[in-house]
Amino acid sequence: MRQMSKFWKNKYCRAGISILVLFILLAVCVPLVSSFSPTEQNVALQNLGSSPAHPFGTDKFGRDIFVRVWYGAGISLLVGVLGAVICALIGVCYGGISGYAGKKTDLILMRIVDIIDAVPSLLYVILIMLVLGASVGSVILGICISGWTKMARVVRGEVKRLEQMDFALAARLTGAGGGHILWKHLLPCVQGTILVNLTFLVPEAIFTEAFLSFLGVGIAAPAASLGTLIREAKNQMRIYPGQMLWPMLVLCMLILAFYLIAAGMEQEIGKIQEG
Amino acid sequence: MGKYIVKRILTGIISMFILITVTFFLTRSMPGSPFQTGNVSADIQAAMEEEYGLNQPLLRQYGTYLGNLMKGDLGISFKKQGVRVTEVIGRAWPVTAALGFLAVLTAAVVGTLLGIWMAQTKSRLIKGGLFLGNVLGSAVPNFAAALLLLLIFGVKLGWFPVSGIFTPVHYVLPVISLAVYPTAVVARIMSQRFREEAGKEYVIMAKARGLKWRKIVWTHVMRHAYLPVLNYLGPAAAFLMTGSFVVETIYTIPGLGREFVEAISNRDYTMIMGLTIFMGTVVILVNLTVDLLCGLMNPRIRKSYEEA
Repeated sequence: MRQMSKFWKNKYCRAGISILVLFILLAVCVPLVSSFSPTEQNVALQNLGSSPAHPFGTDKFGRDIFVRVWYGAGISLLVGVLGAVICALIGVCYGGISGYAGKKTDLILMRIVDIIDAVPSLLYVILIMLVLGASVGSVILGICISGWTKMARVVRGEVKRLEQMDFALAARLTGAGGGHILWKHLLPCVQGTILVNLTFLVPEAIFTEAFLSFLGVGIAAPAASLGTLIREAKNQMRIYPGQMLWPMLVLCMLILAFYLIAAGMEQEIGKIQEG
Repeated sequence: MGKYIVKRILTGIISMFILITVTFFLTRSMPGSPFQTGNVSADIQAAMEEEYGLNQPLLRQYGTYLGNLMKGDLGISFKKQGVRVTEVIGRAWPVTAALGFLAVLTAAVVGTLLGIWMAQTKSRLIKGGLFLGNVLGSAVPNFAAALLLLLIFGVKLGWFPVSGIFTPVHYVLPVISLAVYPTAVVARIMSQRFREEAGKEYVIMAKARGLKWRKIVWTHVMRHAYLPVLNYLGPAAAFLMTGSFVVETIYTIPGLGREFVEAISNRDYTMIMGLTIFMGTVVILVNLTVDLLCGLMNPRIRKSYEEA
């Protein structure tokens, strides 16, 4: 908790967290409170501009874009956070084991990571989406296939470094087992680094989801993420640019918020380490 | 050094083999037959599947595919009558490669300069502005950047053409769209490394010897600071390859990325498979080259590989 208040003092963190909290509130409340449904079509309300009733206007099927954008932001947030957390869990376990295990195991595990990293993961992810069909679950699965490797590398490096230190040796001398030392002694020291990396993973996951949806293999209609909205509005962007710009703005702000938080946290942790 | 090269190349070959295998089996497990187009009778469909060898056991198909691959044959498109996948690659690859090369060049030059500026400037205003620009550069997804540039500079202002790739002017918007993110990353790496290096003793020594600051920066500091940027080229190649999917689709450029997206929406399985393998291989080769170059330039990397 003390660390949290330190992050709040950092101006980048504060800006990022503020945007994020506002967006989460809007993503939760707008679809609940609004009298318009994100999927119901209404021919009488086609392609309207901004007005008090429809702050972002309506699309070619007469759906309210304000509701659709915040509903989409909710999906993006869900996919991003869930995907990042799963990736982080896999990465921490894998990296921890690889860093703490003997030389041979470490070598094999890290070569596997090298091999996975060598190919652009989006290629695999697109194939997986085509096999499994478009849904939130398959997008998250696709993100998790290769999203964990960076976290694994970082954690492995840190564990390898800490393992040499006196407190780890002392723990081993008192007869503690490998798993216990890893979980109770080594990984808590890496908390900050893990947190920063986790925060960087979220915008990456959001980007992947938006990219897939934009290509038309991500979240399928009638459910619509921000990427889907941008894809749908693309064809008539010369006539109704607003329909594309609103979801784009929210998507960029969402990614920006996470980057700001991560960058600020990195700064603060750097300060702590420098003393 | 020899041992390092052999190990690194071996990893590359295994990566390629796994890429090919995964791609093959994933593509084969996609739902539906490629010849299912509504008004085709079951007999004709069976005949077509026989013609294309799809009725054979999966493992034999895999063997045939691998064998053909060795001969440089990626098969025939399922949807475009009689068009070989290699023909499409031969036609589309130069376009995508040119775009990617220009984007890398832009990112390397602009990113380096911005990074040094970021590290050197004393003005808080410029520093804050550059930092914000950098975060923004990484926050705007490539397809959003491409659409925004198209809308502002192509449609509203009319400064640049918005579709096709005929004259040098046509390259401007697509290249910028692709280069935004890598530029931000290069700038970030550069400024961080520059700040670290500039405080080191050899720099102070060079200053004490009375060398000009400009000379110290370009001949001494850059040699050390540039290695991580070179390292980033591998991930950048991957980013540009997938970025080409959206940028080429948005600007209607007849490159590999657009062919791939088209193949996805047509469910043209041989084409998807061939293009995935080709693009994956290109990225693996770029990674390999970059790693070998870095190993050549920095003995420490080589050593860590040999010890492992």
